[in-house]
Amino acid sequence: MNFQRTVVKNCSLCLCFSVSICCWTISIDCPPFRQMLRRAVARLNTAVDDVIRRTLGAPPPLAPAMALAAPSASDASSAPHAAAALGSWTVADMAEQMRTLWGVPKYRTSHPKKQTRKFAYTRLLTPIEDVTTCEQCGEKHEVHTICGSCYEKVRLLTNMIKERMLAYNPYKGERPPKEVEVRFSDEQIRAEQERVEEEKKGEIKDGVRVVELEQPRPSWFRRVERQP
Amino acid sequence: MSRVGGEVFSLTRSFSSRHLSNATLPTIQAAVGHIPQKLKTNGIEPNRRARLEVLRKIVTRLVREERAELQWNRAVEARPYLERLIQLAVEKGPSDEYTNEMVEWWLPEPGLDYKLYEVIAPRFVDRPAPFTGLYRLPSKRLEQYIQNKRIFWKRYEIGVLEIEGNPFPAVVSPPHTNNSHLLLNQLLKKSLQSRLNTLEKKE
Repeated sequence: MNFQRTVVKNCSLCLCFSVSICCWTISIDCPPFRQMLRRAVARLNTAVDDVIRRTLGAPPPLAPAMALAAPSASDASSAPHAAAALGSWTVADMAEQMRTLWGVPKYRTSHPKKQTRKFAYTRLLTPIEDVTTCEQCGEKHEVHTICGSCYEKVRLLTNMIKERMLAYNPYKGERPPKEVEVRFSDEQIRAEQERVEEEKKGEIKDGVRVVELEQPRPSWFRRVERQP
Repeated sequence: MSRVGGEVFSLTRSFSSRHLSNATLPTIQAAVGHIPQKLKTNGIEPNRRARLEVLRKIVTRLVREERAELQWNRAVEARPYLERLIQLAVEKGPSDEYTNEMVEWWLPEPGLDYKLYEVIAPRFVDRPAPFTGLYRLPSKRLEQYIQNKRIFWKRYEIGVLEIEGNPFPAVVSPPHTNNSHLLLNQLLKKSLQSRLNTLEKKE
């Protein structure tokens, strides 16, 4: 058995980070616990040695019968059977046997709680009912909004014009432009002609900032003649 | 209750009589009087003054840039203020004391008072209100902030607020008035033409 859930608490002996064993909260890695265990094992060792000496009269084993081993994966898998066969009892075996007593859910999760977790209002998808098709480009958008894809190209061009329009520093005493006129690359020649004609007539537009863009005029951006 | 109200009114009247100059202005052509929006004021203590600071920032930006994408509720809230400011500039002009006071407060950036009086107001001398346009964009999922290298996203309601007569391309392009190039119209035209030709031949 392999339990995924463990109740994470602080060790009651030294406040180190640990897992809880049954009702005790003790870590295998916790130094005071290790010390306690080591003492207990030493005591047990001597007791076992005494019993063996009395009953069999054999000399005590050179290596200690009970070794304090860290419960690693390899130990947990291979050690218990070997240990059981030998008749000894290590900490790894204890860990293996008591694993079922480690942190597990204390209470059953109720049906409504599970249902809420699965189908909460934040998890549900609601249909969008008021969708229309854009007359210009055919993209879908909600009725109360404008078409997003049509606006995207408008936004790009607007930002290009804005960049030129706002190329002044008000904190150096520069004034914003009086009016802004946008001219595209295919309108340059006409603009030149207009300027020459205006100069001839003596009508030069005062304070108009001409924003010249290095691209032809898009078909959807219609030219609006300003009233003088 | 009414007496108290009357007292307050008389107090305000005596306090500054020039505020009464507003009473003669026509109603602005933008939605006013709905439930006030709670505008989030990042870094400013949330109170009425903070709300006004947010609105002022928007109004100043709009006079500077003439078109801006804002959160929908902010755009809705700021629009009447902008509308009234332009109306004051158009109707009263720079000679009015109250208008000057308003422009001074709402447009703290240098040069923008000039722009309002000399560029924006002359546009609307012969043009009827509203002076601003508000469009709603489809809601968009945008990056809100990054915390511990994790990006937090939020679905934003966006509105486009603009001053009319700006040099930018129209937000909503007008529908096609001339549909003669469409396939159906072309086919109809050709069929009618051929019909006419056959009739002429018979005669």
